[in-house]
Amino acid sequence: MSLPASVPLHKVKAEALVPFNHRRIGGRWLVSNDLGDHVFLTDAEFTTFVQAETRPGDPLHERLVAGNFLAGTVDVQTQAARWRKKKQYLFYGPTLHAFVLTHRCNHGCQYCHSSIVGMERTDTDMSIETAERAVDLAFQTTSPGVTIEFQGGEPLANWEVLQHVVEYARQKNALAGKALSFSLVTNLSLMDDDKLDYLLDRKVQLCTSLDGPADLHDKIRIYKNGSSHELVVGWMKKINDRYKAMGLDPNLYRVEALPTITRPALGRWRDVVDTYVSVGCRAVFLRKLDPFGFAARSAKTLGYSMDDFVQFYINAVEYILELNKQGTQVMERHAAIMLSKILADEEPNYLDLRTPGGACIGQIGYAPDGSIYSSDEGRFVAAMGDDMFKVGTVMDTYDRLMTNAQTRALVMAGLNDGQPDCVSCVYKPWCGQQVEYNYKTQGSLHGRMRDSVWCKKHKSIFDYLMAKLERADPEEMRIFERWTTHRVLDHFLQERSAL
Amino acid sequence: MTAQETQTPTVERLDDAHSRVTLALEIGLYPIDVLYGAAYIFIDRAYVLLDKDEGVGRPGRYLVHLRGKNPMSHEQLLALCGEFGNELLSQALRRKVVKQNQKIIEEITTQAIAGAAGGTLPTDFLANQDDGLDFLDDPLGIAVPWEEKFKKKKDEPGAAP
Repeated sequence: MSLPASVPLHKVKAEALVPFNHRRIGGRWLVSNDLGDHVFLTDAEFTTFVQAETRPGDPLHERLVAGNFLAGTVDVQTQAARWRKKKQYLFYGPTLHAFVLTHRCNHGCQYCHSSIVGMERTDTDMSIETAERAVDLAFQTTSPGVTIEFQGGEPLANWEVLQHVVEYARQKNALAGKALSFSLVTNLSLMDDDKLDYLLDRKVQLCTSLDGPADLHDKIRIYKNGSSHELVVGWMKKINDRYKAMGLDPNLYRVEALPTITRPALGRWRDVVDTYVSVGCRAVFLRKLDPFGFAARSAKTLGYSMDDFVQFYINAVEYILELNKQGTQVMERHAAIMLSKILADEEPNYLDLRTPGGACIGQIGYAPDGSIYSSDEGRFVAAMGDDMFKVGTVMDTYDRLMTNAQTRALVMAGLNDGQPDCVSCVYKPWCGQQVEYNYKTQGSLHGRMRDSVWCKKHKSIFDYLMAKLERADPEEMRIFERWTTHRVLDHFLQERSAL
Repeated sequence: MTAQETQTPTVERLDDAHSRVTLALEIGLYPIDVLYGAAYIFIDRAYVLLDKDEGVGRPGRYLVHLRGKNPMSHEQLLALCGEFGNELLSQALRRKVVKQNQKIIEEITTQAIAGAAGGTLPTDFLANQDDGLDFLDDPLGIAVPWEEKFKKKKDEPGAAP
């Protein structure tokens, strides 16, 4: 963005300023730097700033010093340490290891990303041998933490291998001593008391899908044996009760659920949020429909424009804020992640909003046949018949997976520093891109941010949140502060010497 | 259809009946790598052929022939041309940005890969991947026989008579 017309270019003292980007927000200039600091300036303050005319003791000068915007006043050692802390993901390998245990599923969700098959197709299950090899690879990561996430299809359909992975990984961890955790992404339809006993005993975190009220959920998430909604809500209540009975803080320990927003949901933001509150959820993660799998094929009936989604998102978050003001504690997860970065100066390592992106070096996806993909999305692209993001197999060495030319290309393409628009965007320090999304929607790993819906979504949400921060309503700021308070769910971490 | 002028590139020919369009752009306006990069993006939607018109009495031009893999309307063909122009600009600008930020991009990538792989990679890790050498080139002298590499010159002490 160009400078305000009131600033004569020849008076700008670039050498006195830390490189910054800026954008008009709510009548003031939002200014940010690569360290992740930001400040709101009036026109007059902005002019004073770029002309480096502030003096020590001036309130504006002190704000700019505190925000590391004046070159001569930055404590380089402190800021280097801060940058290193926030970029610690550059210093280790993938933490998230997604195990696709099977392609079988008993649901026919209209937007499914995966290449699901019928329940009789046991030939699409991951074998014990492949699973062990995948666990061996996962434990070679240089990351101090390993999260094994079970996915599908419906992962509970391959129960034997799921249990085996848990036991085998715990056994390996007795020696490795990593921060090991498991999570299971399930539609809960194959859950039973014995399985639940095992999963709770082994501290496997449970995540499911809930698209809103019954009519909305069941219309999209089709389950031929009955109401998927009834089943999900029933199990969520039961599991939450079990957490409580185990003495876990009910404010923190609940089944995680995610809605996928489809066109029929657009006008029903209240219903979606109310459903989450009614089943005891403290967080809603409003997810846009992806361009992968069935979602791409059913876009005509379920899809919408990004403008429509952003309007839905804003309506829903406004409603969530309203509920909070009335005493109901519920947060929107995407906003909370962004605000944690902006307000709490934290790096939650959310793979969609980091640079470089998480492909290969942040996460790996293991398919049932032993193929390894750059990410979940990478295997979604493969499910559409394109192996672009297959980076190897479980028979490869970890070293080769991390250093091959494909991994390097994905890392470089996922850097904001090489992307027009991103390099000059005020949201650069908190944003990121996903190379798989770029590839699927715009045909190349880099895409074009100017007409990318990915960029539009994130920029719109940042704009919305920044307008809130610029207004700084005290009540909303208190709510945001609560949303950005980081609470570790350490119950789900395996004991380092579990055996 | 006669040639239609757009900003850049120029629509040289547009054939609705066969879902074909030919674009022309002045040689020198975009580096050839940028043209290759942009053209490649379209191979899932169209059959792409690059050609050159040397020009007589005027600057030479690159010609880009696109034929839709599926039937395309007049408007869709024009949109395809617009998309091609946008992609050219985007690739050209990205090339420039990458060049400007090459050092930081390489350093971050090297750190990320080294961090993931668990060791410190050589500082020239990225540069080494495509150093333009032929497979018979031997800049480190690895293929030079030991005797030849360490043989003493005639006038050095200890040299063979």
